[in-house]
Amino acid sequence: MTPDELREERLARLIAATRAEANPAVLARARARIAANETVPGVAAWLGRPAVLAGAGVLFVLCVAGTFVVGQPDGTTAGETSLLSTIVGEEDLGLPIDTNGAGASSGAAAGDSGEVTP
Amino acid sequence: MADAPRGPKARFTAGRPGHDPRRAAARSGNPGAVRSSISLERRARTLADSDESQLIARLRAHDLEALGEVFRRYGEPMTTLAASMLRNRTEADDVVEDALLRIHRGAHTFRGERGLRTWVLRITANLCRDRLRRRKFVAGSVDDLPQAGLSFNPVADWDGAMDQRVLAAALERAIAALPADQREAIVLRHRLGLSHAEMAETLGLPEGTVKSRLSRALAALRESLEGLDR
Repeated sequence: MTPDELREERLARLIAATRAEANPAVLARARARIAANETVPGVAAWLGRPAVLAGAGVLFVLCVAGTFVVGQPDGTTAGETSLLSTIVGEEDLGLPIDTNGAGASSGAAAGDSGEVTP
Repeated sequence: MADAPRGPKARFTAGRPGHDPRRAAARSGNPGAVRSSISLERRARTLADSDESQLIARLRAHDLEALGEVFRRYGEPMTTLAASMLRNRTEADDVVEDALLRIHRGAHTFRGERGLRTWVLRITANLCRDRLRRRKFVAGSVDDLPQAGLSFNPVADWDGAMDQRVLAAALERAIAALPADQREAIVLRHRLGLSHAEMAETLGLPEGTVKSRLSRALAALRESLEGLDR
């Protein structure tokens, strides 16, 4: 055997001398996981599949969107109407409505014209 | 190096480390002993094959005891491969656990064309590669043998000038520093004793590719240990 072959042989023996022992707890854990998976009923397992979950999510979003569309035939909801009337219309606030147009200068009293009277 | 099973492989197949009855009989120079050893070997192989077929059938039937048998037979090479690749005992155990689950679930897809050991190691190697892809392996950061989950058993009749433990530690650092594909090749071939054909099956690569990887890995190891083992 040449020195190179001898070195090669020693290298191979050294590599083979390092090993790892199997951990029995690993088997116990794997068995427990298998047992846990097997206790899930077939239908529940099927429902838990990612494709089914994704499909259910899409259906939910479609339903919610559909509810909004169907609930607003004129484009506004009841909530929005009352909000508009609260902002624009004064009836709801219980204030009198000035039908003579005096409301346009409601903030300026007659005596406050700025003229100086002797 | 010849493509014949060596010590570790013999341990997993015949159950005795480094024992080759045919070689032992040939060494004795008795032709009768050689014939008898060959027939014994064939018989043992036939028994082992039928035993493996039964084990595979039980695995396909989701027999948990069969899974335990797989772990008893191949738990050590699986753990050795995972620990050598990942350099972390906890992660290695996690990989072996995941591999057992895959074996249990995927047994019905195993056609038995390749050996059970090759299939089991292929699953383990794939899981190790997945883990390595997810994290950046920093060579030399975790080269401590106990932390990697590996232990060194002193080589009998060591004739090297240098203390084998010191050399083994340097060798382990050099293996840890190899690229993952070369590390995988070294571990499968020299640590687990797989033949080139078995390595090719395990890695899903042509035999030529496996041989060139192995050759590059050995050259890198020799270079790393240059001057140490004289």
